[in-house]
Amino acid sequence: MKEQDPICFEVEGRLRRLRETLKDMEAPPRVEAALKAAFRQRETRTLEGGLFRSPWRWALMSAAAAVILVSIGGLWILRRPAPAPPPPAVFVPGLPAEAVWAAKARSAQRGPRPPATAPLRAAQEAATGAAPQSPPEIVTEFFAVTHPDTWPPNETGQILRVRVPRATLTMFGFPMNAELAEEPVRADVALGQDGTVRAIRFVQ
Amino acid sequence: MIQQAGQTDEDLLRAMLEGDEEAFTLLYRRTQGGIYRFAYQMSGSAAAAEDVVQEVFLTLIREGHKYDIRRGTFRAYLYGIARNNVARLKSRKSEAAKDLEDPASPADGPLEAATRDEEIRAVQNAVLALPAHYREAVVLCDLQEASYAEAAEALGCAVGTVRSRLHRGRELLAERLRPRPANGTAEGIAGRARGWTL
Repeated sequence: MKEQDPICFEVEGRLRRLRETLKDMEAPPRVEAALKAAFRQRETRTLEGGLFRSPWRWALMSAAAAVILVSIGGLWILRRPAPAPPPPAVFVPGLPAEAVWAAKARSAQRGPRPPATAPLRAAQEAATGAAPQSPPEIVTEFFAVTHPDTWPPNETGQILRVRVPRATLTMFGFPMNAELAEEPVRADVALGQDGTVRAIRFVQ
Repeated sequence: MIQQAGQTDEDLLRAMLEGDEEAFTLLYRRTQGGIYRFAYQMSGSAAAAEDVVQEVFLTLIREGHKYDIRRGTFRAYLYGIARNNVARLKSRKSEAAKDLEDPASPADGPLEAATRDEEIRAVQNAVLALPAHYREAVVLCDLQEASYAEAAEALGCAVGTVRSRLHRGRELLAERLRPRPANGTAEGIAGRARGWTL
């Protein structure tokens, strides 16, 4: 109480008791958790926006363009009719499991993210009934979501065409057009027998 | 990482705006209690107070860069945001607003869980029954122990206005809290009997 007059004096004690009673009241912990999540989300968006607005944006865009060009070039080479050994990759429906998982073992020796496969594309086209002369899609290579060493041996599974949030692109190092952030992108996901996603590729 | 001890609210805000989550957490923990109590004492509803705290800090995350230390303390800035949100809640046709429309009967307040003290509840009900602009002054200055200057910054008025509202608010509280004769006393019975037709 800042002033001492009769009116203040009358209510001072009662207000003090109320203040003491309520002094430990706080917002429940769920509010803090929700606000921290909002803070993280905000920071992520700011960081993404900042990268695309930064002086490095041209370098970033050039690097992204180079990645895409290399991916497209790699796919073009892989799609040539010349016979090629089955590249290491995720499961391909229709191929003998031994061949696929032998390739998987080789890929695990080389690195955690196996590249795309021509047989995979062919198998997918066969599965979806896509005509060979239909307009080709531009796809990235397959990226392993989990390390191949963790996949069960002799596994079968399937490839599904899905739509995923555009932000998923950034998780695999691709640039994302912030203006299209609300629009999903098409992707093929390779599912293991347990329904877990083994690998993913993006489709344009 | 930020050194927690010795950091002012303004230091933490600056670090928070640079993306330091720890600074945000510390700032929240330092200030949320006062904001929650202010909102609770203004609304009489724990649910509304929770909503207000959430809105205040979401606003801080979005617009914290608008805070200008030359215009007042950080806490006054937060109280100002909280005050606007309490007013917004009042105007909404929602469950929270229903709580606010009947401020004299806070049904879901922690106060009920904390105490059954009739006198404390009577004081809180009396505060809740004050007109909003008097209640703001009493809650900020008497219950939140804000300075007149801080209250003036939060309420967007002059210090003299805070003083006069506070004085009038205390007068009204004193009137409401003045003991009245109980029904069983002679004075009370006589008072009731005066209206009888024999």
